[in-house]
Amino acid sequence: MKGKYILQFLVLTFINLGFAAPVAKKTAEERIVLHTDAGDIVLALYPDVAPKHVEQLLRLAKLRAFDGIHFYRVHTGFLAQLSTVEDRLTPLTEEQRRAIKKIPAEFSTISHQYGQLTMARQDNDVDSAETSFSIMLGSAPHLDGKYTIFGFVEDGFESVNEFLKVPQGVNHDPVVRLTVNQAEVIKGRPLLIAKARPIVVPPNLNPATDNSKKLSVALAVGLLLIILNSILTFFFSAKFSRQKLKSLVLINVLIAGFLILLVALPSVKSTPILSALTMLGILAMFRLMTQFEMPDQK
Amino acid sequence: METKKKASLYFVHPLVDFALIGGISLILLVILKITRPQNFNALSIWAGILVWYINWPHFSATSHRLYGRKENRNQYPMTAYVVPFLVLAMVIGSFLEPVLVAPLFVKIYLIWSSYHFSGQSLGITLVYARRSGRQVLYWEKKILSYFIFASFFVGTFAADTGSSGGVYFGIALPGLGLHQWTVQMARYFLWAMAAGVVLVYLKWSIRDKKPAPLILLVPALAQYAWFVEGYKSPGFTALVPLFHSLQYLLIAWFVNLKEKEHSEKTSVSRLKFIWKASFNWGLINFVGGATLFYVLPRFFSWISSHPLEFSTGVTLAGVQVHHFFVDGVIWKLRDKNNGTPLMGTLSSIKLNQDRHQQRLAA
Repeated sequence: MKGKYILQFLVLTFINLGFAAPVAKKTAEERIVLHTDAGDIVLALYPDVAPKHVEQLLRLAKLRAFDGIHFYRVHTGFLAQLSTVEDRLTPLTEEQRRAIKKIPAEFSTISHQYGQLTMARQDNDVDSAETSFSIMLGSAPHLDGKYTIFGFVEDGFESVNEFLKVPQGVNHDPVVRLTVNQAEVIKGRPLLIAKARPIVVPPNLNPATDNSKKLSVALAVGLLLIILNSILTFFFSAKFSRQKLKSLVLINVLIAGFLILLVALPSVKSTPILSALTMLGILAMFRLMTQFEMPDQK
Repeated sequence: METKKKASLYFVHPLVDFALIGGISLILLVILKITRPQNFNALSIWAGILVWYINWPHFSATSHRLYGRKENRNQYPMTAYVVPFLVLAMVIGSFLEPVLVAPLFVKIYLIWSSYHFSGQSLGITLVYARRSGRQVLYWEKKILSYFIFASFFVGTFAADTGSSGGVYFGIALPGLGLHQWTVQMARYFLWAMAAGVVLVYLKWSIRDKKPAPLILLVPALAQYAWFVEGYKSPGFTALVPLFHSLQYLLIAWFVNLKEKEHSEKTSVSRLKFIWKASFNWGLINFVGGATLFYVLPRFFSWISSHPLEFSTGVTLAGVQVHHFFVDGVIWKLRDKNNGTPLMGTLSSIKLNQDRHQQRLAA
């Protein structure tokens, strides 16, 4: 009976530790503290499990390369991913840029579970990790042995939970920028950290479900403008010069191009070839606009 | 027999022309590369001050040139009267839908802006080529154009490889999420075209039997500095719109002088005329620029109840998209008084009294 209580105590203790279970691994003395708008998040690192990853992340944090990065993907039950350092608010200095190296994979037997830190990489190259990493928000066994785990969230998970409350777009991209204002390296587990606080989302930033209705309205207004412009062109074609008629057609192209981008842009970025074609389309539209009200060559 | 005097290559002076059409940016970039400063606050402060005197007036100068004279407006009525409503519709749409419309509108403006810079760099290269008395062949123009635009591709594609498109005045922009290979392809294309530009320059030099003027390459090199080399130097990128504006202001100021020389009726000296006309033109554009970029965002913020930061981002986008349209036609104005104002020099400015004296002497 006594043994049962001890077991219960151990189980409860384990549950209370929650994501901190991986503490069994040796952690580096230095922690990285992410100071965010939602409070602080303390990251503990595994120097024995992923020495090269830990070395690079600490080096970059000391160079302040992570200041201004952001959580660009917050997927409830899966992970919250930080952007690369190139995506931070200010450009990297030459020194910071030079400090970024591709890190070879350091896979381990640690599984992807709640609270673990896992390094992002390119899909087709296991040795391509550089600066982007994620905080696991659930278990993902399909990632085990494919992505390097290099630490865990030691404190401040309440701050991560605040991120989850922010409305997201279709690709789990938060509607407001969840910026890491500063990533600080400190020795030892910090005693005092900024407590979690809610992210202020402006009332006009509605979730994607509301945007779909607004998107329909925007499409309707855009199409109406195209139709009105076309009717105008049709009825006054005899009165207007070629120069004016061409310009009216170009206005239709511009409105239609904008509407296409409005609808398609959120989904093209996941397909490299589509995103490249979209960029080419935008450039072609600009090229066409140089013909706006261009006098006839005659 | 009177021999036709060859026009000078430079509008004002070799050093002034070199500095304004891109030389300053090249020199600054070299200094940044050598000194490798870690703190760019000073550059940001300078950029913040100079926008009042250089960047904002350059937008005003375009509008002033189109709207300042009735015959100009009549030549391009669509640009003068329809485009403002189109842009206004986008601005209103952005204020009404700050999440859906504004980010895309600002995103388009930002890419268009760099495209517009490239078009101007090419245009100025061709102006100087024409001033140097050379006929730029079709394929020579294409190579110059491809090199200039390839620099823009490299910078623009690199900026859009991230998952997010960055933040502009608090507006989170959508990212295209371009793959790294697009930047690499643009780089290969850029280097191929760079080799082409070298060949074109050598061809010109061989034809001239002396080195072709280096100023012909300055706009293209500046473009490369702005979008490729300068992209790696933080702080420098904040100044690129100023460098672009300097290029523009040199040409616009000169053309304005050439237009005014015919209307000057008082018997002032040429120097006095230049100072007076430049001051008036500068003052109008300073006030115009401040109205467009300082007063207008505050006005929109006030009537829409949106934060000033957001209002500034959207207004900037609106004013600049309007500028891209106007700038596209403004240099094609048919002015019977100024057949080829872009071919003149500062010393070629002749007032009515000069002409009168010439007639008397004749």
